[in-house]
Amino acid sequence: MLKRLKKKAGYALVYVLVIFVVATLLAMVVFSSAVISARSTAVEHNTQQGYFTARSAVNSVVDYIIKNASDATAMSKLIGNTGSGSINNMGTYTVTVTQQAAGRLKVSATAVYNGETSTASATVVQSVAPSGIIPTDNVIYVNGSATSGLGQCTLNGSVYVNGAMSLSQGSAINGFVVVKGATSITGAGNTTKGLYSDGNVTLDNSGTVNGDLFTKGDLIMGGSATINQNATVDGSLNMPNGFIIKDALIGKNAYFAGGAKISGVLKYGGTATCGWGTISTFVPAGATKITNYTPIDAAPYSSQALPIISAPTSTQNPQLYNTAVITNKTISDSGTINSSVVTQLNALPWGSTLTIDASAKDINLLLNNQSFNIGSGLNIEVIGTHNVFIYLKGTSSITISANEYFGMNPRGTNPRLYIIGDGTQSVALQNNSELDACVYIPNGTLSASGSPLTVYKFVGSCLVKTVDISSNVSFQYSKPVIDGTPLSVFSSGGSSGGGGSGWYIESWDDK
Amino acid sequence: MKNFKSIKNKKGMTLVEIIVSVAILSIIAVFIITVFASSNNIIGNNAILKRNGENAAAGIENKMAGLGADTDISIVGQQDASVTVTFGTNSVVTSGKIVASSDKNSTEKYYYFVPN
Repeated sequence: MLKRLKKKAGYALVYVLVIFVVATLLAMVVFSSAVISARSTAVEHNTQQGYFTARSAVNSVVDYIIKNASDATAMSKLIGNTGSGSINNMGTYTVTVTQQAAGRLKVSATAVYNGETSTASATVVQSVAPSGIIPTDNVIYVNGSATSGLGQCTLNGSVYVNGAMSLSQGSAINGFVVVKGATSITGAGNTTKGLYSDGNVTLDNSGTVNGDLFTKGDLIMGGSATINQNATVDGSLNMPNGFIIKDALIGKNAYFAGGAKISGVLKYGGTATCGWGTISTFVPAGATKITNYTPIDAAPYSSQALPIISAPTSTQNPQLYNTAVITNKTISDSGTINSSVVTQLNALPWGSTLTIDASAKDINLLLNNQSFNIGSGLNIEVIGTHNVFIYLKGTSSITISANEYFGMNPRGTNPRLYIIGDGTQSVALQNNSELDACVYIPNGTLSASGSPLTVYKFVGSCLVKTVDISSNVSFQYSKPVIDGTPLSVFSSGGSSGGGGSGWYIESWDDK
Repeated sequence: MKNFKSIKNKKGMTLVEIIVSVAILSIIAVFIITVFASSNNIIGNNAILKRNGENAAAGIENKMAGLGADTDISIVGQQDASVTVTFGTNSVVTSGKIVASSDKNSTEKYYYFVPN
C-alpha cells in the first residue's frame, strides 16, 4: 500500500478506506461502551433490588426479635444461627443474627437477585430507661441535705440524698448511695455498697465503702478508712491514711502519707507527691501519669424530677370528701379521715386491728389539716390487690405510736399503701412501731427512732425532704408497685436506671 | 495541479475495481451508520432506564425513611404479604406489606417488605 501511495496511483481510494476503518473502530468502541453501560444499569438495578430484599429480610427478623425478645427459647433459635428464605419477585436471602454484647444484636442479610448479591445489616439494641435515678427505687430518698438526719441506723437499700450527706455513729447503708453534695463518712463501721458524690468525699476513722467510689470532687481519706473496690475521682486524692483495695483513677493530684496504701494501680492526671518515701511505697502495684482522664458522667446519678402530687379534687373523686365510714373495723370505701373518724378509732379497744379493704377497688383516704395519732396500739392493715392512697393536705401528719403496725397484710408483700403529701407534712415512727408503705412527700419529714415492732422500723420506699433517724433503727427497701398509681410518672424498672425492655434498630450499618 | 497532472499521467483503476470498491465501502458505511444508530439508541434507552430506576428506588427509600411517596416521580403501592426466614427447623414468619415502587412513566419496579 505504501508502494501504491508512493506511486500515487489510486491513493484517494486508499485514504477513504483508511477513514472507514477508523470509523469502524470508533463505531465498535461506541457500541461496546453502550452495551457495557446498559449491562451496568441492569447490574445496578439487580444490586439495588438485592439490597432492598436484604433489608426486607433484616426487617422481618428484627420484627420477630422485637416481639419475642423476652422469650429466651425463641431468641436462642436465632442468635448465632443463619436463616434463609425467598420472596416472590425479590430473590433469595440468608440472615444471620449475632450477639455483640448484652442488649446488642447484629442482624445481617445477604440477598441474591438475578445473580447479583447485596448485603444489609442492622444493629439492634435494647432500649434502657431514661438516664437517671428512679426515686422510688430507693429505701430513702432525701430531697434535701442529710448532714445530721441519718443517725444510727441500718438502711437496706439504695439511698439518694439531694444535698450533702454525713454518716456517722456506726450507721450502715447496704445499698448504693448517691449524694448530690459533699459526703462525709466517719465513725466506726459506716459502710455502703458503693458511693457516688457530686462533692468532696471524706472518709475517716473506719468509714468504709464496700463498693466502687465515684466523686466529682476530691477524695480525702484518713484513719483506717477503706474503699473495698475502685476509686474514681475527678478531683484530687488526699490520702494521709486509709486503704483503697483495688485501683484508683484520679483526675488531678495524688498525695500520700502515713500508712496510706493502694493495693491496685494508680493513674493520675496531675502530680503525685508523698509525705515520706516514694510513690511505690504507697502504690506497690505501680502508678502512671495519664493525660486523657475522662470525667465521670453524672447523668446516670441524676434523679428524675419530683412532681408534687395533690389529692384528687372533689370533682375528680367526690367520695374522697365524704367522711370515711368504718364498718366492723373495716374501711372499704374512699373518704376523709377527720376528727370524728379519729375519735372512733381512739375508741377501739387497745390492740385492735383496722382493716382497709382494697379487694374490690382502690381506696383513697384524705387527711386535711388532720393529725392522725391514735396511740391505742391500733394496727392498720391493708388487704386486697388494689391500692390504698392516703393523701395529706395542709398541716396533716401521721404518727405511728408504740405497739402499732401500719402496712400490708400479709406482711412482707410489696407495699400498696401510698402516703402522699403535697406540702410539709410529716410521718413519725415512734418506739416499737412499724410502717410498711411508700411514702412520697417531697417537702415533708420522716422521723424514726426506737425499737422496731419486729425486725424493721420501715419497709418500703420513702421520699421526703428531711429525715431524722436514730436509735439504730433498721429500714428495709421493698419495691412499690407504682404502675397505675400517681407515682407511675416515674419510669418503672430496675434500680438506678434499669428498665425498659424495648428493642429497636440503632443503625443500618452498610449497603 | 501537479497531482492532477500526475493522475492524468498515470494509468487509472479499472471499472470493475471501482465498482467493487464502492460496494465494499457502501457495505462498511451502512454497517458503521447502523452501529452508531444502535449505540445511540442503547445509550438513550439506558439513560431512561437509569432515571426510571432511580425514581423507583426513591419511592422505596422514602418508604424506608417513613416519608410519603413523591408522586411527581414515582408510584408506590403495597399489598399484604408475609416473609419467612427459616432457621434450621424453626421458621420466623412476619406479616407485613410488600411495597412496590416504580417510576410514574415506567413499569420497572423495586420491591420492599415492611413488617406490620
